[in-house]
Amino acid sequence: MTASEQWLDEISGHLSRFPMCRRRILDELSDHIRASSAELQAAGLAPAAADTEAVRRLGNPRTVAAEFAHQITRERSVFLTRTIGGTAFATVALIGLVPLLAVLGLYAGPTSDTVRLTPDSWYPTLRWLLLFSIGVMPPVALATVAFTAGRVFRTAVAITGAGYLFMLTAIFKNNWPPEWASIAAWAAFTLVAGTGIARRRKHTRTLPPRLAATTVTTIVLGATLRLAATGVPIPRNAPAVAQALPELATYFLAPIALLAFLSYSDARHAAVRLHEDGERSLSAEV
Amino acid sequence: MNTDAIRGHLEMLLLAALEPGEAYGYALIERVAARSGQAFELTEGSVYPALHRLEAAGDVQSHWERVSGRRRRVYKLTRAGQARLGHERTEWARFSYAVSLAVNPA
Repeated sequence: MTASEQWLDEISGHLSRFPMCRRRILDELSDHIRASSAELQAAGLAPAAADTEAVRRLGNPRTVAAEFAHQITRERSVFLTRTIGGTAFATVALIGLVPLLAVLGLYAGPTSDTVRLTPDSWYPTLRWLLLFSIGVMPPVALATVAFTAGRVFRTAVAITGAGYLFMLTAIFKNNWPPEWASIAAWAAFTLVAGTGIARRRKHTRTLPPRLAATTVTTIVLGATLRLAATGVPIPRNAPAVAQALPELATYFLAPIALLAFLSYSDARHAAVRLHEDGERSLSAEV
Repeated sequence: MNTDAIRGHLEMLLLAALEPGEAYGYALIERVAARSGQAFELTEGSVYPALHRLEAAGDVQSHWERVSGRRRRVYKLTRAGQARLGHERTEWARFSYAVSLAVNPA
């Protein structure tokens, strides 16, 4: 084995944790060695000596691999934060926007003194959008939280998440769950999510504004769903919706907001952890 | 002058070396050495992580070229990289002037 082959083999081993990036790095470095060796041979060195000198100038393969590892880890942590945090906020935005459109759509509808937001209302498209936003996005956020959280917390989230999904399936089938089921789901989710937030407090510097934003969104969504569940007629110019808001603020949709917030918080924690792992790897290997 | 002395300025040196036009890694190292009057002895392996950092930051972009049947990664400066280089030149001028004043008091 030549000196360059040995060098490349060693750095390839050190970069085994990064299979996606390794090919590019090895191709670049082997091209570098070829160019360097060719220049040294042009200067009069024998091929083997040129090869040895070329890899000597590259430096210790462990050190070079550690620098690459540090860079790759840092890029991944930024990507993770953006992706998971983006998912969390997309969840909140979607579940907040759709019911607003539903309510506004109703007020723009047929002229009568009252309207009803029911599962059989003449806005089926909005209904499906609503069910999608509460049926699909929270499990997505749930999955991202499970990915980043510790094992015990992950198990608790999985159990409560399964119960929550079961309840949402019933809603999809136009079979609204009984009161006790939704309260139980809310209580379990809130307990788990609250525990997660408490554990991540050191990474929740922006807790108040995010919590406020998600709470407001939850209230709006909860109001819409409550009205849909009860079929209560909404007077066109009445504050009846506002009267339901206090109840809805404590309804089972609060965990959605906490879940979205928690997934963002966990994403930041995971990003910090990844970055710190990268820093430790660099210190250990250099 | 070894790599430790210029560790904090390696990215600036690489951006400056890319200013005349695109180049691959080895050619960039030669450009830096030539422009510095052979004063810098870069640990060549450190250049590639630095180039990857610059690319991740959007200051350079790269593409593969085929040379003698093999792949070669070629880098070029982006607009953002050009702006960053201008900023770093200003900062460096300010820094070196201040250091000169401090070590060579009138």
